[in-house]
Amino acid sequence: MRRTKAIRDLGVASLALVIFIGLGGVGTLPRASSEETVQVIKAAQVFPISGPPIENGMVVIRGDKIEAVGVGLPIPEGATVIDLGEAILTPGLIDARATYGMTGGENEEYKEVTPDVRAADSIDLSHPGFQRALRAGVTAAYVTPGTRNVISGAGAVCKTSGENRWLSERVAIQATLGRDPTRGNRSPRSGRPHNFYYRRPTNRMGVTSIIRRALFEAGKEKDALGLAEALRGEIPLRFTARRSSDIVSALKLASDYGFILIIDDAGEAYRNASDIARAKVSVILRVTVDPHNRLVAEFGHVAVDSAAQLHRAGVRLALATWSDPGTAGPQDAAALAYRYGLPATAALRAVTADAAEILGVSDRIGTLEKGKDADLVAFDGDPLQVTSRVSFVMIDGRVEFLSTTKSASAGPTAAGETYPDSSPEPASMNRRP
Amino acid sequence: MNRPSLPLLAGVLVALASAPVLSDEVVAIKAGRIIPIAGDEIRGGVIVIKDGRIEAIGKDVEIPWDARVIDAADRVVMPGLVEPHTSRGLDRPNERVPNVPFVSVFDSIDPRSSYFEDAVKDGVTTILITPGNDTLIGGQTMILKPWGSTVEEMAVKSDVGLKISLRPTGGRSRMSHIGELRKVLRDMKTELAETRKQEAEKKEEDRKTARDLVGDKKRALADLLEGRFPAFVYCQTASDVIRAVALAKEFGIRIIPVLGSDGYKAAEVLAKAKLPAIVDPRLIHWERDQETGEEIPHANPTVLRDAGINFALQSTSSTLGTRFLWFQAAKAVRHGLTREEALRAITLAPAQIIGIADRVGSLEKGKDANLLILTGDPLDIRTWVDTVMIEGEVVYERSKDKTLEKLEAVR
Repeated sequence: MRRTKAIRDLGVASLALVIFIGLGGVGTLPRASSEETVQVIKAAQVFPISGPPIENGMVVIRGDKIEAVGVGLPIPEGATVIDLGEAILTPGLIDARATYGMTGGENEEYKEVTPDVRAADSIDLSHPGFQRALRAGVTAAYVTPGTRNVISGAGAVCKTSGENRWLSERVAIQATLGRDPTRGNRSPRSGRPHNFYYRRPTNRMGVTSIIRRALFEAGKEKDALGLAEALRGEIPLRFTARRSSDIVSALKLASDYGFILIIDDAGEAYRNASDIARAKVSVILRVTVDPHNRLVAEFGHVAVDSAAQLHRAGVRLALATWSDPGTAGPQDAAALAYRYGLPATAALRAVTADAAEILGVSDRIGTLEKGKDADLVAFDGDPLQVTSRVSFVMIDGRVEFLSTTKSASAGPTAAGETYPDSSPEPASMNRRP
Repeated sequence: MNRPSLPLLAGVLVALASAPVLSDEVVAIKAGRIIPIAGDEIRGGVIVIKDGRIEAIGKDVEIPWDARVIDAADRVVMPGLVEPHTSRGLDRPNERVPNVPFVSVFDSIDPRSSYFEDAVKDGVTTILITPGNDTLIGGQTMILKPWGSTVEEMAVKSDVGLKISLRPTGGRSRMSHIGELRKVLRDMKTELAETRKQEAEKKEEDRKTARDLVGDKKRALADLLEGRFPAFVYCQTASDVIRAVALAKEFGIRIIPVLGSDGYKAAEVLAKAKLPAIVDPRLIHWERDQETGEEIPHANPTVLRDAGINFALQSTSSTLGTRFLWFQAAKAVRHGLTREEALRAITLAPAQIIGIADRVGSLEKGKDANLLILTGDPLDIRTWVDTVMIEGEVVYERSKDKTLEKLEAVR
């Protein structure tokens, strides 16, 4: 390798990196033993999320856990050093709502109410969707059953690669308000409903009453799984609710039955922001940028600054695209929410620490802190810029992806901007007089 | 374009299409940063606009005494974006019947569609509207500006091209779909040749052109075969590109390939045939390596760039970022283009590909004053379009945008 080319290729492919890899490129990495191997990852900026950004920071990893995060830390003897150069290092991104990995269908259709069904039983860890997610910087995803059932079962959190993929096989029980569970159903013209297609609800009144019924029945069983646990507050109920009226129904159900509520999709949640905040309900927001606040069938009047409004009202948020990350993932969700008014730190939190908290896995992932899993992602520029690319992914201390090419994302106003907690809001939101 | 049922309208339309609406003001924009696309960036420059066109652009340009000065000293100025191929703004993208060369988007465009309002706000000033991909020969396309209350006011150029799709319609196979296309073109070619022969035998004053005699239903096909305009050919798969190139050669027609998700695989074919390409809005195509099981992303823009092909990006009607051309350009940068290449792919390249680069696509003397004043770098997530100018007229100002007022500015 010629000297001038080596100097030019600083970026991600530093010399230390080449020594470490030996071969260069992707896919031929020696597997680090997950026992007591010590690694040190260095980057121009380290965003722990749990604290302010650290310039020229480093993360010390022992085995599969983070041992230390800081600047100028002593490098343990025998440690392998990975110097990511000008990159920005963050915790691995979390996709708070995924359906990739599910095989054989997302909905168990033999009944409308299937709280004991588990997505985990349907997840194929070798599904290519996990690889695409990993390349988009996603290190863990909440994989969920679909929305065709009124109560569709429990979602799971698993990592997108590595040797120990499961973080939790049962994170929340999904339910759906609105008309999704009525799709394809019809009531018979005469006589009683007599088969599967006729039995299911045909409008949202039916859907909500089925939920009420199920919760009421569960309240009578003391030691049952599923909904009874939810009523005891041992597992949250995650409701897909888009229209404001459905969100109000969800809040009322939570208030009546006392379960922990999380709202998915939440298109019109901005209209009920203060009620949601008061009830201490978390929201997994589907990011959308339709600028017209149009009434879009079941999606209601969406607002581009939904995330900003919810955040301002004090609602704890995670962001997701409801898409395959190979197309649009948490990075894009955070970037777009940021553009439309969500502060930068909140946007990054919503795809890392806050997502982990809402999913109940924050003891393991979501920030770069001592004792947490060594799940890290590096970007070759500001992660909230669309131009920035994932250049490095580590899960449980093992390098899963490393790019040696640098995209041209460093522009005059892009890379190098930091986000201290007290950062001013994006200049773009200030109007010229 | 000949519309036999409304010849007067056609005349008006053609007249309007060839003479842009002119503003008689002289305007000078003092810009902190100018991205002309053609040529180097200019820091601290001036653009002088007269009669709706760029009169001068540069660092030391003198501001005329009577110019209205727009102060954009802390702003970025670039050409208006060009959308090369969309079916938005239409009542329906396709006719039910697959072979309809005689229909035109002119009859289907709804000037009140929110798409046009969005387009202006998102910095798009030139749009080629086309029938969709669910067709064989879908009809005639048009180039419009997203400004005006009637299609005539919006029209910039007609006779721009015919839409052809190689994706089979109605559940049939590619064999019969493309077989029908070939038959239609062959029959037309034969008919034209015979008609010309017949006319050649007449006295000169009695002769008519084959095109005039072919009939309204097939005139657009005659125009295509006689080279009056190209065909925008949707190539759903990379192998469709090969078929399109072969058809173009067989019939001597000009084609503009509109690629599918795996279009990058046809890069060599396109390069050899010296054809441009309009890139699938999905940008990235994932394929599984058979041996390692690894999912590999292929970035269409990067592969086409490396093969030296002139390519343009499209946007979509999604509710995520891909609805913005700037987002598509930024994504292309993420996956390997330089910023300059990405900006060119949403301005000058589409203008060239759709045949209107003499008027738009870059900030150069003589071109239409279609430009954007931005709050920052066009690929920066925080940048907003402050002002949009079309043919010298300011058509959008963010400060007066009511819908953005509802966005509560943070702090």
